[in-house]
Amino acid sequence: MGSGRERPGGVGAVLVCGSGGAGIQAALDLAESGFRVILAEAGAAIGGRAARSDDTLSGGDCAMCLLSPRLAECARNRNIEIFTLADVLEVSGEPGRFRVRIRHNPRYVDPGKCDGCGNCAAVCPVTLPAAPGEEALKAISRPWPQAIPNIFSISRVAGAAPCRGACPAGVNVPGFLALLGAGRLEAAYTLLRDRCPFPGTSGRICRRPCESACRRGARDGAVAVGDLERFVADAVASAETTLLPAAEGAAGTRARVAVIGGGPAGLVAARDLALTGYRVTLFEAQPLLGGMLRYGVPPFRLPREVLDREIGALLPPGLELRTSTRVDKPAGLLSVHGGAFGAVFLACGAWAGRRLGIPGEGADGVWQAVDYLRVSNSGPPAPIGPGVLVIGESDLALDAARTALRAPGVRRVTLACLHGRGEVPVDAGRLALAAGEGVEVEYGLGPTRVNTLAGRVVSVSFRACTSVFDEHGRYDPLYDDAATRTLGADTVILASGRGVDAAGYALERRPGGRLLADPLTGATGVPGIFAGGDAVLGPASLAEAIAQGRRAAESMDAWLKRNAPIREAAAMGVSGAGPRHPVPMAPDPAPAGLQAGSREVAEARRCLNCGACSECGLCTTACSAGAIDLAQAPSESEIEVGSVIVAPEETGAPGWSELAARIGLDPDAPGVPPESVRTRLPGVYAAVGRGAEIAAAVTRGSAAAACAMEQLASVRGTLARPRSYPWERDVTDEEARIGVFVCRCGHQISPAVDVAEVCRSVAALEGVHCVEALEYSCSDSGLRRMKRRIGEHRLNRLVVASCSSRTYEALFQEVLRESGLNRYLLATANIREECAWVHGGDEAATRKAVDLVAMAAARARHLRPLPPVDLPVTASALVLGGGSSGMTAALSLAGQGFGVHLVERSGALGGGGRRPGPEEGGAGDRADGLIDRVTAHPRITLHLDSELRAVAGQAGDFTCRLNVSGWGRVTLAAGVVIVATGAGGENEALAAKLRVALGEDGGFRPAHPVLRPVDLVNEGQFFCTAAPPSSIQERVLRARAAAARAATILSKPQLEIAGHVASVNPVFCVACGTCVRLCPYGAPFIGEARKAAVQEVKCAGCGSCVASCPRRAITLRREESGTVTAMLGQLLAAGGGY
Amino acid sequence: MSPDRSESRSEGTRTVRPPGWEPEILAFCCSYCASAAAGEAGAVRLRYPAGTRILSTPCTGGIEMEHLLEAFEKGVDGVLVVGCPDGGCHFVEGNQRALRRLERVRAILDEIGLGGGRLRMVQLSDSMAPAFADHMREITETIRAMGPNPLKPARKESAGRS
Repeated sequence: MGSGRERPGGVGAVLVCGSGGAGIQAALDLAESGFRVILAEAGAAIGGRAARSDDTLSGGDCAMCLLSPRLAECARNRNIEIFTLADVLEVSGEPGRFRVRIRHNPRYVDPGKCDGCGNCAAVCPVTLPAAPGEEALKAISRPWPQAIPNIFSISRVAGAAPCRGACPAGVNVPGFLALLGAGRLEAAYTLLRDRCPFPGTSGRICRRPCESACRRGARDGAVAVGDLERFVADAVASAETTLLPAAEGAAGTRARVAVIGGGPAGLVAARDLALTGYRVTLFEAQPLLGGMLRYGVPPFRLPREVLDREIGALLPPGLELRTSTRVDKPAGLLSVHGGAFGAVFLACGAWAGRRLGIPGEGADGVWQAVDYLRVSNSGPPAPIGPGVLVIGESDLALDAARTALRAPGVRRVTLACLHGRGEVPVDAGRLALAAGEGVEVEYGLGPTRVNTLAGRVVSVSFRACTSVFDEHGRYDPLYDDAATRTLGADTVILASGRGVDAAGYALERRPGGRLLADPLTGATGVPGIFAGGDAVLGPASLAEAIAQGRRAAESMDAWLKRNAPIREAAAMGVSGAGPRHPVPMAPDPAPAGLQAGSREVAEARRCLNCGACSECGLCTTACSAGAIDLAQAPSESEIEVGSVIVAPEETGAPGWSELAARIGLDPDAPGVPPESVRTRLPGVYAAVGRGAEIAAAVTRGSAAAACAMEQLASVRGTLARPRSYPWERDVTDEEARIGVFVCRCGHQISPAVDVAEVCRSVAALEGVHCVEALEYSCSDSGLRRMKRRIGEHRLNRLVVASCSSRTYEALFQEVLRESGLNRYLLATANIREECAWVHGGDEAATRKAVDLVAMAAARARHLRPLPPVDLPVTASALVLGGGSSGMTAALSLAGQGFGVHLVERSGALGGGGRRPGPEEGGAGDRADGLIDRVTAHPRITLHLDSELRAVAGQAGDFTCRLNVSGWGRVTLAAGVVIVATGAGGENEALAAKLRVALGEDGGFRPAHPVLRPVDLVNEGQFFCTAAPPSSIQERVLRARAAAARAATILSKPQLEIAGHVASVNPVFCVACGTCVRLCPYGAPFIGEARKAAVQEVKCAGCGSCVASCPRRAITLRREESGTVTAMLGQLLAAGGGY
Repeated sequence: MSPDRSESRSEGTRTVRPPGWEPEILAFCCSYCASAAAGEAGAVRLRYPAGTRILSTPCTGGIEMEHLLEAFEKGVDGVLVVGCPDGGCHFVEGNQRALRRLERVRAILDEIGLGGGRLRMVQLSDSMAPAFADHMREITETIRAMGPNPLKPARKESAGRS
């Protein structure tokens, strides 16, 4: 082999994109015929969607049971390399030598460390919405328990949760909600406090940009993040847990730094700097810490015990606190200017009330809201009223109005807003709250003058404001001077904004008076002085202040280390800037059944999990292997292959149209002609599945593999690695140590048969050293479990009780070989088809299963290792039928370098002897082209006017006898037989010669209706005729598929066959000759010393001679003579029988 | 087994039929045709009595007479041998040999009074799952009519299962 079309230096590897039925089949065919395969799958596990659906297909198997062992074969094949989470980005180069660029998307779990224990998914609080009929998965999950690879991955769309990006402080809102939704209050609190050191405060006064951004808001109201934050903070505080650290960290030893301003920005900066190791001095002009939180926000909105508690928890030990200390010259604190500090953070806040610029503003009884609140919040209430008019429409105005409402002697508080009703730019709920308390709200009023009497305010004149913003959205109010109004007042409180009183600091300022600082680092124009908070931003939110303090501390640390002031990540705070990813709506969870805080838990569960993984960190803690790695990033690699097979599950499969576009294929019809596996790109083949029709996908996968085999025939075997196994342990003299593995087959065996009872019952049987129930014995994890147990218990016999043994026996035999045991040390029991499926609901089913397993165990005790026999493979095929199917199969195999005997009953190729089917109309030219190519091909030998007379032998070595009309008989050797005859009448005779049974429709029956659609039951025999009506394209597909399947045999120099032959014990043999007369194969002969002997190559292992020998001198080598007796004994033993 | 199990004799027959007795059938199945048919029967969820036990063998031609006799000796109530159709044997004529061999065993069973009817051979192809299930039912009913194998060891009847 290997002398196909010469192509200098091709690559003997094929890339298969997609691991549904088609991709898996293509990969297996190629890997089994001498090619190296790279199987690229976009998902986290191979198998596609079909593998996870439990739809029952024809044949009675569910899709997963069907595909699972094929997937296991892929995983165990040394010539298949699996890339999951892989996107093919680019295919360049030329046929025979493509370069493929692959992006490996992060799994966020280290595959080398994950052992699939599932602890992570157990704790993961995020459940992703599931498609109908599919099981809902956690954000960290594996698609199904037998997934290959059997490791977890995290669904994570970084930046997709808008709430998280909206929070200036960078609180992990989804993580917080997820933890709370799982009822994990303390973990939620810890996560919250990581970014927001004032959760109780923030939960009460935050402007909640997260809620504004919440994608649920547009639907049925945003998740009440703020309320939940407050709830969690209060709950934790009242529980007096150790979570509230009174003092964290130790006194620093690094340079001294000064923080000016004890508001939230200054407090956070001071804490962060102290925790970093700096010796911090905090200056505060007021007697108490808190800044605007204490002197601006009234206590009925923020209870002082909450504020005191949170500030107390924040202050690090060793902090030098200088309250009631005003710093006028911050530069003077710097050591370069003779001070004691290496750097200064200036966060003095914005305490200068903004004037309206109207006459009478300076009159007695006119307050600035900041001043009024500071006075009111510091001591006895300021003397105001009884009629109070608050002008403004901010939180500040609301706070002032509500404070005034509570002041002694005040009888009436009016709030004059510039905006119209419903347009006021404050939280509507808060405005309603104020109104509900008795604040009278007037809308659309622009003040024109404060009217006074004897220097004291008596009223304020307004004009109607008709619009606030111009058409560009800029603040540019328009007034109607004709519509005026006057509101009487004894006290006027102006709340039209706060400015920064920083004139004395000798620092650069913005036009409005705010300090000028680098927006990223907080650095001012004076080296060593950093600024932040309201002093830089103007009136800003608590969350922004926290962020400012944190960033300043980071940059100061960097600066002090003589590094450039650089922030850790430029994207902080804007991570949600990307486009929003649509996610399906999660159903509202039922709040019932939850304990304390059920309302809150239910609310938290309304989170839509926009970004899937919430990064709550629970899995990181739960994973003892340390496999979670959220820092993983996508990577790229480039591989070289000779051919590419794209195998989407269907044209509508996710990601397929993008892939097709990148490669340059038409996503709707990649084949040329449309149904073909060939595409417009030489060397690129398409095996597009048909959704749930796995058999069609399998056929296409094989057909595409055949095309790649033809194309790469010259480099077949150049990159393939032979299978290698450990040395086989000779167990002949060992006592039987049997491992029994009972398969539950998901729910196929398990409920009908009590698997646990089966395990218990067989555990005490002679020789049984290990019994274990497996969810799926044919899955990769199941096979690995067997292998592990074989090693642990030093087992030397394997019993697998699962499904029909012929399907998966090879897989279990592989386990033995990989464990250094002879592969024939396996006994199987079919407790699915022969028990669970036929006796479901009958309580006797379990007893029967016990007996079947016990019989298998008895057989296992008597199994003997068999030396493998290598059967040389005849590298040529016998193709029966010279129509388009037969010619296509012949050309494909000949193109791969194999010899082909094409046998046609009539005198001409092209199906000439038969009626031309209507569907073949127009295919005549094509048939002519085929005939010419077949006739001209040097490796195709034509046998016209010929008919198959008999077939003998086995896969790899068939002896085929032909009758050639008018000429006589011809005997041919062939490694495989491919049936490509069309007519139904022929089938019966042919089937008899091949010794296969026909189906009820008179057509050939596949070895497996779904997984092996072109294989006959007999190994090495294939058929490509399809039940009519079949299109010419379908026949071509099946012909190519049969060729690919045939190549898996023809490409091997030899097949290892069961040495399941008879042998004669000469001691007992009397040379009666019975065996010689009986044997249909002529294997036994009377040899030297007048004793019978068996020619092993001829022996088929039927056992006829064994049963006939009058002296009981013959045994089948696989089993000791007492096997059946032992099995019967096991079956019928008292208590063990039935 | 129910604890109140007691022996009773049904009048008019010689056979002891303990209540709850279900015919115990051993089916030797050729792995080429019968085992495949059994698999197919399961795949399409045909039902047949759960007192049947299947023992796969490469070819019915390899079933020794001793095995058949041994099965009865150890107490099986009936034995069904399922082989390939005529001309369909993968080992050319193993099924024919089995038929001949069974004849001899049946004669022995008749001779010793056990009844040759307890042993039966049927032939079917791997596609004949319904026939397979039918045969399993039929032999069960045949044996039910014949009653338990009198050679069934007495201890078995009292041993019961946990």
